[in-house]
Amino acid sequence: MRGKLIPRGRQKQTTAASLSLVHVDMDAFYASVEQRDNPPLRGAAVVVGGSPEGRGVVSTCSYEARRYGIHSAMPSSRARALCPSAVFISPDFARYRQASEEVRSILRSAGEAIEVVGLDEAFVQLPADCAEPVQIARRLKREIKKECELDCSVGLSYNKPLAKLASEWNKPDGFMVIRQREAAELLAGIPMKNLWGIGPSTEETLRRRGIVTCSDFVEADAGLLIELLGAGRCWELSLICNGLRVDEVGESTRAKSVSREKTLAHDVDEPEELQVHLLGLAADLAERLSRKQVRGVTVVLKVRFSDFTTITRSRTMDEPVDGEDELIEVATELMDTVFEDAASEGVRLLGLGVSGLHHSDVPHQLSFL
Amino acid sequence: MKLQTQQGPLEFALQTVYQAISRSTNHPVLTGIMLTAQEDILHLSATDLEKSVECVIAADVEMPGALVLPGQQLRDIVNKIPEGEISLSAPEDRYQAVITWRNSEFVLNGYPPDQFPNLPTADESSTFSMSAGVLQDALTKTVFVASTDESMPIISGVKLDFSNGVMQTIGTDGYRVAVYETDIPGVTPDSLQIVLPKRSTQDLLRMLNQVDSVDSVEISLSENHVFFEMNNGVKFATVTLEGKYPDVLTMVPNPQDYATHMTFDRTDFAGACERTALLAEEHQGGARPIHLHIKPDTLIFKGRSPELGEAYDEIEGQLEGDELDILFQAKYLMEGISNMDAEHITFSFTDQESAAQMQGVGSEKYLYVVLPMKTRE
Repeated sequence: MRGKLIPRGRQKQTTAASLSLVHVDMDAFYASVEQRDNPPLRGAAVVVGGSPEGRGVVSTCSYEARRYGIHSAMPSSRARALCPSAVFISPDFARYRQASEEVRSILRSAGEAIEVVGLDEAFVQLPADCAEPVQIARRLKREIKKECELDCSVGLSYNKPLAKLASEWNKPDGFMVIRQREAAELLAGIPMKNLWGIGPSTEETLRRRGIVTCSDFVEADAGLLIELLGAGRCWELSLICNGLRVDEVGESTRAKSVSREKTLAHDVDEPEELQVHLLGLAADLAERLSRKQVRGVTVVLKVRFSDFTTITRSRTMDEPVDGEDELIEVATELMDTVFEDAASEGVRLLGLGVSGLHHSDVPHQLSFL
Repeated sequence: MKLQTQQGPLEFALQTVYQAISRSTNHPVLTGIMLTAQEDILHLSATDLEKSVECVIAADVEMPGALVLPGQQLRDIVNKIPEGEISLSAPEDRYQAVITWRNSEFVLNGYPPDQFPNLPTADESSTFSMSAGVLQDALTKTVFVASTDESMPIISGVKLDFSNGVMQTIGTDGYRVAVYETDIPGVTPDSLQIVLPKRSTQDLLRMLNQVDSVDSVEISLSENHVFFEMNNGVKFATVTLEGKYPDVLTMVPNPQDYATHMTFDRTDFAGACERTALLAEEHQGGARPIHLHIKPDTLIFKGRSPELGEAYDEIEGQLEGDELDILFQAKYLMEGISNMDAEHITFSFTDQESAAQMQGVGSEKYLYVVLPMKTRE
């Protein structure tokens, strides 16, 4: 194929999509909950994560801590070196889940549907005929501040990638609206890697052909893009980059598996440190499973090393599991088997998931025997 | 061995016995067809040790003999030869056959006949005969229900129960039961229960379906085999399954337990079911639940998939008894209705969690009982 995927004429031939998708992203969520629940910590550099005495890593840190150059996934010992006065707290996921539920109940009251992405982020679908979407999005932000005493950044747009981009626009405590008429222009200078769903490997594939920003993508030869990414993926990205994608948050389809993964900010080779990340993943996964009302019979651990070799290990249980404790127990055992086989290299990505899902609302066949 | 025969009968005989050869085996002779020539006949047979098929055709035998030839190649060669006379000869000192037709000649390597298993023989004293059409109908309407789950081998068969001139045929997979009951005129066993393996039953049906000329079947028994000899000269034998067939009829509700009877047109129901199933969500194991809403004059079908959407269909019906909402696997409804002959069908229900029964109006001999699906609490 020659030429652009979506010609310029087509880019404007579209009915305006309504501003009905809100992305809410809690600011420094775990650290903010700690500061809220413990007033002396307010204004202090708070680091939630592993102990700086051992080989723990930073899970989340307050914006005060970020000023010292501390960021998530950094070894806690390094964080301490950067800011000796920082307060180190080990994560209390039960409390974060509680806070997350409070935020969600506010989101539910405002929208037609919500789609939870993690403990600290969610999409909200506003009614299609909503007359004042900007006011409603602002009100959500105010209510979360008032009711939960937590800051968040809110993005309002007409599709998920743009709503997410908008919430990140001036984080923390940010608010941004991206309308369809300004989307294409606004997107032009945005690096592809900032788009939702663009991982390091896609970014690298595109960058090697000189495609760095959304406008590079829009102008790129269709044949080249299809060759690089495949037709489905490049059409999807093309709709996003041209501002043509329209999303709705609806009833989610029935998944075959549920998983969470995390790319670590630096390569980790200490089991103790990996354990901290694993705990976070297990908590996140357990939360996701309970929300979807599913349990999985097979637990899958994925470990990617710095040289991009990936090992997956799975175990099928007698009974489906969904609890954080069970998940962590199996994941830890699987992790041990990974290191029995692997050359000692740094880990760059961890994933934890379950498959063989048992949906609680699925009917089963009655039997005579 | 040396003989001449006609291509047509030979092709039919090979096609027929070929159905019994073993499809996957480490023993090559079991993929072969045994040929035995004597007097003026050629006898062909094949077996996979579970079942065997024998067939006899007329031949001009110059020299008797026996040989096993690879089944597939022999069948294919004869298929490709036009009608006419075929010669087949085999030297005594080699396991090899020369097949000739006009200017064509095939030299086909075979196996020693003494390596071919002995076929089971029937106890002639137990022989009785019945209509091929009735046997075909009874097996067709029950075998599709027989289980494919290996964990309970006995229900992976079809049970034939002869008792005082009545034949009852039963198939079940634990979720449904199909029962066919009919009088068998003539001399039949006073009491006989046999369970035919599902695969063998399907093979037997293929043979019964193959030609219209079959109108009666002679059934004989041995200790662990049953033999079906058709009046076109084809003899089919299969092992019978051993073990106690569960008494599934006791699990079927009594007619007086049914609180809801819905009567409708068979083709209306089949059509609505097929349409609704298109958008019914597929669950593990391929189950597609369809909701039935039974109303006074209407039977409503609903199928729904979060990914695809929803289907709604309704047909006319006459309700006797209570209204009911109930959930079934689409496949179980479709297979049941497709085995009904009557124009109108009555579907009877007890409640949402009990077996329901489908039966043709005015057709007493066949009933199909199916359990619903239940949503987990």
